[in-house]
Amino acid sequence: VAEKRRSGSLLGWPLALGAGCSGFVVWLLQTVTGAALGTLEAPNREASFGAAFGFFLHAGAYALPVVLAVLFLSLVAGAALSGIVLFGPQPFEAVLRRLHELGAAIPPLLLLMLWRIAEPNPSRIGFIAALSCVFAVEIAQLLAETGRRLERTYDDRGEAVGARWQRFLTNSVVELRSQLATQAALVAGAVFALDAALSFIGLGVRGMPTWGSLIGAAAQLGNVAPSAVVLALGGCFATVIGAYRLLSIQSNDTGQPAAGAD
Amino acid sequence: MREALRRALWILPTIVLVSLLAFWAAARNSPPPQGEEGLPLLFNSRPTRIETLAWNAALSTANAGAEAAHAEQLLVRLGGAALPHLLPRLDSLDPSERREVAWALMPVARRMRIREAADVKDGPEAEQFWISFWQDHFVDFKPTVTRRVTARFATRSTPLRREELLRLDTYALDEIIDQMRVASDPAAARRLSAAASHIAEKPWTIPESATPLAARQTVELWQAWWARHENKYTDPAGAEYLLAPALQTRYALWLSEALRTGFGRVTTGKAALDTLRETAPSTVFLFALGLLGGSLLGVALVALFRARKHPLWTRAAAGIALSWLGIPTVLLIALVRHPNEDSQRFLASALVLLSGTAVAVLHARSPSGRGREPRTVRFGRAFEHVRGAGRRAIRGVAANASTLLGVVFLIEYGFDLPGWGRETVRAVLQRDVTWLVLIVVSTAILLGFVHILVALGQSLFQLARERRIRSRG
Repeated sequence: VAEKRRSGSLLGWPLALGAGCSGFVVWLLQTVTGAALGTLEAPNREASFGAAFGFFLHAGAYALPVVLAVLFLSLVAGAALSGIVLFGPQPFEAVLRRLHELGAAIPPLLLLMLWRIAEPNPSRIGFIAALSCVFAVEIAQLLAETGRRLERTYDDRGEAVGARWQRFLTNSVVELRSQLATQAALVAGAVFALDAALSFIGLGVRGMPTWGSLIGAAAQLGNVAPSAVVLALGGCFATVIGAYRLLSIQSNDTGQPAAGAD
Repeated sequence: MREALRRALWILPTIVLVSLLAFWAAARNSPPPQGEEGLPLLFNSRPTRIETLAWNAALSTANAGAEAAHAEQLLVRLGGAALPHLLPRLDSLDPSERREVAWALMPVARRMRIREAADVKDGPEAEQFWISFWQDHFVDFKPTVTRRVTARFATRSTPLRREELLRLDTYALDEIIDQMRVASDPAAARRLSAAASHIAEKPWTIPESATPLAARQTVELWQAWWARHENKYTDPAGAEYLLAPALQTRYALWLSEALRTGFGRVTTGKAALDTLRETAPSTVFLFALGLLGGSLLGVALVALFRARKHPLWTRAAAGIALSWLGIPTVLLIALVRHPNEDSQRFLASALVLLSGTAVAVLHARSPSGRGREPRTVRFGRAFEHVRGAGRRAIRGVAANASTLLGVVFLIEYGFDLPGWGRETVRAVLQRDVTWLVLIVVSTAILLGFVHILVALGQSLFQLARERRIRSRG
């Protein structure tokens, strides 16, 4: 199990870091060299694989910062909110729960559509802010529920065997990390999907290519360019499988028996 | 059971909040309709009071500044409704200012058809005219008197009754339009509309040859106009006074209009509620298919893979489900779109069903609660009981119901199916406030209903389980 854990970490973290940094690297290259990647057009039926790949890279420079920004903001805001709920006055918990239920009353796509038409000039910042708000509440609710459950577990078992609350909490942080990783993977997938959906509808941010808008633009063509499909599918699978792999490692890191033990 | 009840009680505040949000988003960048210029969207920190409005206009008129012309027009428009607030306070102005204000009010006197007004030639005479007018008629400017005068005129129009009513000018508009609304006699509505037309200087009258439908439309026109302008002619009292910051907003006006007309019409010209009804079956069917069909299929798959014993099967199922959810729906739509309408329906249903199934499989595999954290990889352990898996699947799908509904919307738009999704995209592109608020409220109700049902099912399941345990001893 230890060997597997080590190899998992060796594979998973570089994958996640590489995915995170590749956008910045492309952006840096583009900025430094003044490369004309921005002039590439969205894939069409005649687009070559190379052209589509260039667009894919270029879009990645925009998409990854958006995803990372949403992830960062929602995780930080979610953690802060859950901290307020767990350690603050009782009504905060009810408020967070109502907020969560309110968020669940409107499909995220519809919420984003409303947000987009509410903005005088649709921008990347607005998209990030709206999604961060939605996911922050979700993450806060998840963390608050986990925190309460840990409290109950400590009251039931930890205290009886003389474990200190701080120690108990430190040990549990690993479990929280696993949950956050799960949530992060879902958030990343949702950002791509929602961005693509908005572009498909015609509410995407103009002049800003992202992976979502790449997929949206390709989908608008009716018959999707094969190279675009390959790249889009490849990108989606890479993201999902990478996240999945990362999650596997995270879960193994918690000290639970590996899946093979079942 | 408590959870279901809580959800049911929470549904009304949710509807109010989401409708506020939808209205804010949809109307924020739209130009305000005629008569709503300057009104805030959701909260009016400075609600209009006719007393303040009239007195400020009088002061501007008296100062003869740059805004004097506009203030004079405002005074004339406010008309009789401003008199109870202005005439008793005229003494507090300087004589010259008093004369200016009195002279500015003379067009109102002429609109009131007061004979003596024709003889007034200058400011001092105007001042005398209004002083004597108020001494003679201040008792008429009371709600009870107005009600009686309007009712008498509505019953039978004589020159004297008409004179009495017109003398009250805009002060009587509230009563006139209210009695017009409830008038069962077409002649009464005709008389009242003619009086209102004269006072408000609007061309909306009911001719003698008008059909009942045309008469009704004219009355509705007056009601709609009054809803927008009421706050300029009347002072809120009681609860209305307290709620004025919320009532004197574009949202309140839109809501009152929507409730009065059954949500009116969408920008395509069709009745909003009819459009909602016509497009609901497709959306509700697809949503139910994803929710129920997906849960059932997910649980069946889980049971099947569990029977295979080897954890590889369950891992593969979860991996495929996770990958499926990772692919943007847009891409799936683009890949499977087909020109045949029947095929499109089938493909749309299949996509929704598979999305629901993927969510169900992912949730069914992992235990949650009771001190155990959800694990992504520990699939094999999750399938100890199909019943438990089913319960988790339904709970998971219900928790993701809003996302699933979003997928349904997108699929309907992508496959050009006549559902809420296609209509909503149209409404977004055309900034159709009515449809957007209506659809947001409808989705909130639909999703709330799903959550209530799931909570109810869970509590019933729990009860049955406890009973079973008790019977076993």
